[in-house]
Amino acid sequence: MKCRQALKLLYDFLDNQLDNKSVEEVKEHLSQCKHCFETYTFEEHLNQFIRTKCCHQEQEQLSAVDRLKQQVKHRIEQLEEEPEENPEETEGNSQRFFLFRRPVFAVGFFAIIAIISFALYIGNSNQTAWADDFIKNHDLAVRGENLLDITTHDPHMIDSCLSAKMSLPKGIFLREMGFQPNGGKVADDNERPCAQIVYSVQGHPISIFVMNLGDFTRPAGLQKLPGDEGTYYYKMGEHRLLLWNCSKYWYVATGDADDDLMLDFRSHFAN
Amino acid sequence: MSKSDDHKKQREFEETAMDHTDALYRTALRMTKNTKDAEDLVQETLLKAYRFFDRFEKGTNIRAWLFKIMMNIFINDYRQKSKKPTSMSYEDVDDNYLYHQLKFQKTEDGDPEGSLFSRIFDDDVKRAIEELPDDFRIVVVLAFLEEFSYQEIAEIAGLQLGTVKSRLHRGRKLLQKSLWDYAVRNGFLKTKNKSVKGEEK
Repeated sequence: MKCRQALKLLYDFLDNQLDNKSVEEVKEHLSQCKHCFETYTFEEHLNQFIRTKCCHQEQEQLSAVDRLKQQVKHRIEQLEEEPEENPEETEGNSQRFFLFRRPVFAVGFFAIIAIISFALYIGNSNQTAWADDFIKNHDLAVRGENLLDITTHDPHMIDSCLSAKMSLPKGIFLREMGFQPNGGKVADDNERPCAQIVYSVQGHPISIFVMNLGDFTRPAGLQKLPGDEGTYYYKMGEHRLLLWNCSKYWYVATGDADDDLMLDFRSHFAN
Repeated sequence: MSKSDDHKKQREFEETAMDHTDALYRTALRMTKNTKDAEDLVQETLLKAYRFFDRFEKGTNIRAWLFKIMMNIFINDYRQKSKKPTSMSYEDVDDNYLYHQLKFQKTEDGDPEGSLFSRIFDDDVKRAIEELPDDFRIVVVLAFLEEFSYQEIAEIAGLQLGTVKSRLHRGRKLLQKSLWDYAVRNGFLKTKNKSVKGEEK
């Protein structure tokens, strides 16, 4: 081995990234070459020096870590409390409306909904009829047996509007279901109602919003899914948003699962 | 999920994931450059990890998994805040920069390495790392501080293996250059000159 090659492998060697054969070759060269040996030794000392200086924890840092652990434990305990037991508990609410817990995502989501709603708003629709249609046209209603029981058609009784007994594809579990006009607020005449269904797929909550978007045209930022002309796709950080049409309703699936999981999920709801 | 399942999950999470809080915080400090953001980042990371804990494959590398979650949050939510164009250039920095500087600056006491290191303080090293542009800092911190392998870094930061290597390479150069500057600012060369003058008398 020549010096040039040995020096080229220096960092790979120090970072333990070489295979055994190369390690032996480097060691052999170092045993014969003072210059390379000294360079290696210096770089190794420098690595250790940087590591020690940075990993040195001052009292302040240690107590910050302890404090953090306590805070996280506390938050986890709060998260695990049943929302029913504590209806005014904000933590419970944010768990229910998982979508709106993350500001970045909520902003992105509402931006898209706002764009499509404003562009294509088609006047007031009869909300009771909308609920009927939703039940009739909802893809899930066709898929299993005894999928949906309607407890009320009154759109103002949002939380008890639908109860679901559904059989779903393997690996997908229903978490909750309800009407969510504009993110949980009671709909007024100008607000567009939509239904929200939250599924749990491999531990990821994925929400589907079903809403009437009229003659939908694609807003900026949404891309067509390659190989699936009917589905639009939007990616923001690790959040995914898929939109597709089923009869007169649009399905908007959102979640922070990865691409594969979202697409797999989408395929369960083929038109 | 039943109450006892919840408790089991909580206990398991505390025993496995939360053990890495100090490493996460140490890295978060270097990434966000301030304690408030670092604490928020770690807290957010752990809560998110808890939410997705069911999805974590038991027995696989939980440390890498946690760092991946943290780097994702950092890149998405924190990076913009600190984004500024870098004025640092690594083009004119040679490989093994510090070693070569040192070689040309042979000191009389026979321990140039020791006197160089003694002129670089804890805060200088931390600052030198924080001065690196975000892209380089991510790989440098993961490699130097946390000793992740290149492959793990590629997975954590969502980069190609080759990108990890080249960023680490440039990151090292920049780091060495700025450590040298700190040492000089702290009087590394002056000490040497003084001792030479002292001997002349």
